Amino acid sequence: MATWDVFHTQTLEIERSIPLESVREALIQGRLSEDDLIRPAGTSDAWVRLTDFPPLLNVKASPKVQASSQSTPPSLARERQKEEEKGGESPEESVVALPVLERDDEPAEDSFPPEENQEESAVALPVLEEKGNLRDVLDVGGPDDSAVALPAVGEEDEPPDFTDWPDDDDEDDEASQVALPATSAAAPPRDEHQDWPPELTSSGASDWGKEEEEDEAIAGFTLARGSAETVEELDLAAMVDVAFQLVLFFLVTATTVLYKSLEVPKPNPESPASAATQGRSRSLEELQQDFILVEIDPAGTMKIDQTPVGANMAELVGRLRDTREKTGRKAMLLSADFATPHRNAVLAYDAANEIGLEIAIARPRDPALGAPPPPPRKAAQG
Amino acid sequence: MLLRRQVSEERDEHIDMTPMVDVVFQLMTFMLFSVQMVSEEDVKVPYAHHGVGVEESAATFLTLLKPSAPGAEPKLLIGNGKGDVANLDGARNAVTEGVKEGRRKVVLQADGEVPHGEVLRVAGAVSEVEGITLHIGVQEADN
Repeated sequence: MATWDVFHTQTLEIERSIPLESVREALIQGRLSEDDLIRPAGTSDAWVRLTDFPPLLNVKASPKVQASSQSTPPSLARERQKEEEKGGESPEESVVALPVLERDDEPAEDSFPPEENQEESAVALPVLEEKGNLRDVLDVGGPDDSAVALPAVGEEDEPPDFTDWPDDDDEDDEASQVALPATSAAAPPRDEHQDWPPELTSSGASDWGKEEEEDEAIAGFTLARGSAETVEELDLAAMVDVAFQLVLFFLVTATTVLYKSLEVPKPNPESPASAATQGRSRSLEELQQDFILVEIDPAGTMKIDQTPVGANMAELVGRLRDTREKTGRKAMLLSADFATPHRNAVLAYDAANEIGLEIAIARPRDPALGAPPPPPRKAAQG
Repeated sequence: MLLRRQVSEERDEHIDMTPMVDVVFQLMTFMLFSVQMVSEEDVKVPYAHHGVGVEESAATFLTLLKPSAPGAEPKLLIGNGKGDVANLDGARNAVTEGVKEGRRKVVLQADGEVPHGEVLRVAGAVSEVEGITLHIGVQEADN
């Protein structure tokens, strides 16, 4: 049993190898729409809309038409209805009235001239095979050429594309060949007992012409992802994540931690008392000739050249800068009390570094060692 | 023409959590290392605007903790914020060993509350070792 591929135009998906009955049921149940496309399974034939697919047209036909012929196309059904409304012929006669090559004794009176007979129709077969196009054949004038008989199905080498159409009765095979004039209408000619020759299905000689081209354009222009057979690309996101983690790890571990510090001159290892005893101490007046004297008492009060100054960075820097410009001294001597907090001394160091002064530190006397000797109050280390 | 997005909007509804998890891991790593560095600061050194950076591996660190009570002697540690308690001789020996190992810089991490005289006393002791440069540990000023 032949199967079909159905292309869902809404979801852009393809269902493959579906039996015709399943397609018909899906169409009736609404799971398939009229705009969905169909083609024989496993082929590269052009997609055909379900509405234009002959084996399915009887699904949408009116019950009255279905009663007469289940596979009658809509155009044919409409024509029959018109004829019925005229009150002329019966539905069966209407079918026969089409220029189908009926070989019976009831030729289509309104399509064929009275003098046309069946023998001439059969003779016209080679014409169709040579031209391969029904329209070309139909354009040929003359009553003899208007009725064209198609070659028998059994004579074809390749089975036609739609050989699986419902074929419940073979008794009228010869009489049910293609109704040629109907091909000029919108719907393709078809009959339930008819097999399409390759010329009709492959060469596009049928009425589907433009619609098939449109369908092909639609089917070929979608941006849908390929079928499940396509190979997915390798997802590199996880690998990139791991790489970034490693980079971060090495970055952090390779970074050397720097501790901020102020470089200060080394104080004299000798105690002030021993330095004074050895006569290497200088008086305060002598030191002030070379250094800007900064004094800090235990409470944190600061003096520059024995003049009080605020214990903050801005004021200290300003006073040191003014003093340097006035006196030309380019070094600072810090004489802080032993008990003053260390942060006050660091403030003085930082202020001296701000304006580029050299730093000298006077080592204070440890109160536990007793009072300092009177003349040289402090020893300095430059 | 149908675009892919028009038909797939209803399908990809879940949110991809992978980038969010990645960012979280990044933050966790950053916090891990940050906390580890902060935890070494057991001493509150004074603030300063100017200073130079000294690598931990290139210096001998001494720490002077603030006195536990007014008038008490500050505690001297051999190391950066933590280490063995030592006296002046122990600090001098540690600096000597550091010089032998190529660490000629001595960073004295003194708490801001430590008396200035105590800092100079330790500095004077380690200055007896030849070939060193003395640094007072500070931290970045706020403004």
